[in-house]
Amino acid sequence: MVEMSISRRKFLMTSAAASALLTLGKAPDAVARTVGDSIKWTKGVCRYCGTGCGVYKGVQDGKLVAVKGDPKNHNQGFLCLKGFLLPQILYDSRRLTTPQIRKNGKLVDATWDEALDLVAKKFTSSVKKHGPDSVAFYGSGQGYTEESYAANKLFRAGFATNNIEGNPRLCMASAVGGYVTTFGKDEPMGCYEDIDKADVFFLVGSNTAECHPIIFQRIARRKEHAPDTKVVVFDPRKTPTTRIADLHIPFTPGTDLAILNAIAHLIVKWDLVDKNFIKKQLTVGEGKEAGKQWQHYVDFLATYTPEYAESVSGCPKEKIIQAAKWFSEKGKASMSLWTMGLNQRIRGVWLNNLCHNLHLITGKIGKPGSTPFSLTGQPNACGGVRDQGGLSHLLPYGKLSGKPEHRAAMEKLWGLKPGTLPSRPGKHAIAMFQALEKKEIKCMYIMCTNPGQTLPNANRYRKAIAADDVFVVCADIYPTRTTELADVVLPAAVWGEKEGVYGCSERRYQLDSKVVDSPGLARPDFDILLDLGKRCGFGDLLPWKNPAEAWDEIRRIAKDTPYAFWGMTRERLRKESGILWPCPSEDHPGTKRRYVAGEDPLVPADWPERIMFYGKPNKRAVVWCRPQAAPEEVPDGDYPYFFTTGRVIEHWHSGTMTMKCRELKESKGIAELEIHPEDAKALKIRTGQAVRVISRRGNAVFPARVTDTSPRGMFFVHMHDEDRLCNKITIDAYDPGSKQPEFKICAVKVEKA
Amino acid sequence: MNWKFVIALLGVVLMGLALVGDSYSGDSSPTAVASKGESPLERVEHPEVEVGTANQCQECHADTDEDIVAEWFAGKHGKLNVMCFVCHGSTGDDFVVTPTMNRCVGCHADKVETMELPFASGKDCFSCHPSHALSSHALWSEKGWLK
Repeated sequence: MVEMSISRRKFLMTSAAASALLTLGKAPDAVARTVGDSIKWTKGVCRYCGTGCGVYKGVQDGKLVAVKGDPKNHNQGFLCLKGFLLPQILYDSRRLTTPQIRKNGKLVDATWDEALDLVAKKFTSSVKKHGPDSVAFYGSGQGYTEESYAANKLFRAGFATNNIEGNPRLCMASAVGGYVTTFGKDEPMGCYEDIDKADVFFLVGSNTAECHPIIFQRIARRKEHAPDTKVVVFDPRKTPTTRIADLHIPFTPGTDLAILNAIAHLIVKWDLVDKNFIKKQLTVGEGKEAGKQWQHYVDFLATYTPEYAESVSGCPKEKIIQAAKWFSEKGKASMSLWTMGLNQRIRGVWLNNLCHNLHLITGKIGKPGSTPFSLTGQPNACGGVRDQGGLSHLLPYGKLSGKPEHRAAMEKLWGLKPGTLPSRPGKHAIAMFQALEKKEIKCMYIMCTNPGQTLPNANRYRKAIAADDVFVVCADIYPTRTTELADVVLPAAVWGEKEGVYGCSERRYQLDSKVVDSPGLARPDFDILLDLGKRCGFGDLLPWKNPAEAWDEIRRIAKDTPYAFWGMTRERLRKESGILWPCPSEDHPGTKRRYVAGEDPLVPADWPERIMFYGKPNKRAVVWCRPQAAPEEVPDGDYPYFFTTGRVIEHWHSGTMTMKCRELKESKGIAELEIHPEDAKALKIRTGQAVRVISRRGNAVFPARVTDTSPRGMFFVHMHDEDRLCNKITIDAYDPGSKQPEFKICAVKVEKA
Repeated sequence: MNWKFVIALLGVVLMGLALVGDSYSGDSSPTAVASKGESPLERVEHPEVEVGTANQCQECHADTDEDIVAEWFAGKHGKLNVMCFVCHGSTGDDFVVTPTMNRCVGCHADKVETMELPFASGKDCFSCHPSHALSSHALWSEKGWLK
C-alpha cells in the first residue's frame, strides 16, 4: 500500500466541490480523441514498443485524429493505452519545425541549405583532416529499416567508417549475444502464437504487464482459456506482472544466474532431460570451451543446489523447486520471455544463455508453445538495427564488419571497389561516447534517439556531447535533453508523417504508413540522410527516389542470407498485416518457427532431425556453463542500497512522445523513488518527500513513494522523466561480450533533499 | 447453465443478423465505425487538481469512488492496466463522466460496428457490459482466472 501524498489530499478536498461544476451540452470528446463516420483509416504499426501491434490510423480533415487496433494482425485488434493515445504525439506545440544551428551558445533558426551544408562541410573536412573514424553515427531502434539502411550505407561505404551504432546496444545487445552464442544466428526462433499453446510461462526480468501490455494480455488470455497454465515471474520487484503469477521468484539483484542454474540442476537431477535431443542436437561449450561432454555440464551444475541458490539469492528454495517442476514436466509446453532485467547486465549474455539452456536440455524448443523468446523494447530494434546491421561490429543481414570475406561480399552487393569497406573496428555505444569525450570522434550524427537522457553515467557523456570542440547533429521531433546539447538540430517527421518498415520481436516485418504531412520544414529522416549524402558527394550510394526503392535494394541484399525476405514485396506488406521471415518467395506465407524441419524453408527437406540449428557449423545448439557472477557494483558501507530503473505502462523511453499526451503526462508523469516501508521507516522518509539519490557517478532528486512493490534494500525509479535524470546515477560498466551497460544494478545512498 | 453454449448460440444469431442487416456492409476491413454517442452529454468537469504528478487516477478515486475502482480493478480492464483515462479522458476539456463508444473503438472496433445492427437499437456498449467491471456477458466473472 502507498501512503497518501499531498496532491492526493488536495484532490479529496477539491472533489467535494465537483458537483457544483455540472454542465450541459458540451462536446463529449476533444476532436483529437474521437472517432466518426468521416474518418479515413490506413493500416500501419504502433510507434512504441517492440511488440509491434498493428494499427489503423484515422485521418479526418487532414489531421490524424484516432488509432484503433488491426484485427488481422497478431494483436487481434487490441492496443495498449499508449497506442490508443498516439495521435497526440504529432500535435504538441513544441514540435521542431525548423532546422537550428547553435551560434554563440544559442540555437537559432536556419534553412535546410544552411544546416545541411554545415553538417556536410564539418563531416567531410573532419574525414579529410582526421581520418574516417573521426565521424560517427548513433541511430535508433525506432528509425525505419530504410532510414537505418541509408545511414549504414552512407557511413560505411561513404565515409568509410564502422563507427555506426545505435541505442539497441543499450537494450538488446545481450539478447543478440545470447542467440548468437547459443544458436549461431540472432533473433528468436519462436513466435507470439506460441503463447496460445504454452502451459508454463517463465517471465524472467520482464515486467510484461507494463512494458509489453499486449503480450501480457495474450498470456492472460491463455490462462483464461487453460486455467492450469502456470505463470512464474522472476523479478526482485513485485511488479503488476505478478498479478497473474502463480509463483513470484524474488531475489537479491544480480543473483538470478544461480537461480537459473539451480533449475537446470534440478531438471538434470530428476532426469527430466531429453536425452535423444541432447545426443543429436546439442553440444556443450564452444570456442575456448569446445570439446566438452555432457558430464562436464552435469558436474558444473553440481554446485547449484536449490539450497545454494537460496543462500546466494535469498529466494526460498521451495519456490525454485516449484518453478523447476512446472517447467520440466513431461508433455507440457514451456515458454520463457525476458527483456531488460536480463539484458541490461554485465552478465547479460550469460543470462540469455542460461534461459536457452533450460529449453535445450528439456527439448522444449521448436514445438508449439515451447520456445525461449527475447522481448524487444523498440519497434524496429530487431528489423532496423540488429537485422539490418546497424551496430558497429555488423554489416547488413548477418555479416560482420571484422570478417574480410563478409566485407568483400558486401562490396560486391553494393557495387563498391574491393577494399572500400573499412576493416578497422567501429566503436560500440559506450566506447563511441568515450571517444567523443577524448575528441577522437569529432563529428557525430544522432538520429531518432536521446542519449543525453538515456546513456548510463549521464553526467559524463552529456559533458562529452556538449563540449565546444566536437560537432554533434541531432535529428528529432521535439526538443530533448540531447537537442539541448547539439550544435545542429534537424526537425524530423514523426510517425504518421512518413512511410517505412518496422520489424518487431517475432521476426514480423510490417509496413508503417504515411497519412498526413509534416508541419513546417520537418522532413523524414530518410530524406534528410539522402540530402546529406548528396551534399557529401555520396549521392550515387543512396540513389533511391523513395523508401520503397530502398526496400527493393534491401530485399536483394538479404536474399541469400538466413533472413531471406525476398518474398516481402512492398505490395505484399501494404496488403498484409506483417509477415515473419524467412519468406524467400512471393508465394511463401512466412515462417512461424525457425530451424524447425517442415516449417523453416532454410532447413533442407531431407534433414533427418526435428530441428536444424543451421547457424552453427555442426548444426548443434550450444549448452553453456555460465557461473553465478556478481554485478559490477553492489551495496557497501558507503552506498548501502541497490538502485534500479525501469518502465511504467503510461510512458515510453525518454518520454519525448508520451509526455506530450495529456492523459499520460497526468499519470506517472514524474519519476518517483519507490522505497520499501521498512527502509522508509529507518530513513524517516514519507511519501511525497524529496529524496536525493547519490551514486559514485552522480545524483538526482525524486519524490518518495513508500510502497512494498520494491523489496527492502532496493530503490526503483522509472526512466521516463526528463526533469529527473535517473541515468546520472546508473553505471556505465558493460557486458564484456555484448557491450551492453548494466543499467539495472548499481549502489546508492540517499538523503532528504 | 452452459455459458459457452449460450455465447455460441448468440454468436450464430449475430452472424445471421450481420448477413441480412442492410446498414452493415459485411466488409471485414475496419472502415465504417459507429458514430453513436456523439449527442451532447451531461458532464461533470473534473475538479482542478495538481496534475502532471506521479499519481494515477485510481489512487485518489479509491477514496472518492471506492466501489467503482474496486470493480474496475477486479475486471478485465483493471487486470490489463487499461486505466481510467482511456475511457474518461484527461482532467482537461476532454474529460467525460460517461464515455462514448468512440473510446471503445480503439480496441473493440469490430464490436462497436455491430452496434449498427437492429439488436443494438437504442443501446450502447455499457447496456450489456456494466461499467466499470465491463464483464463479457457474465462469462468473465465466473471464470475467476485471476486472483
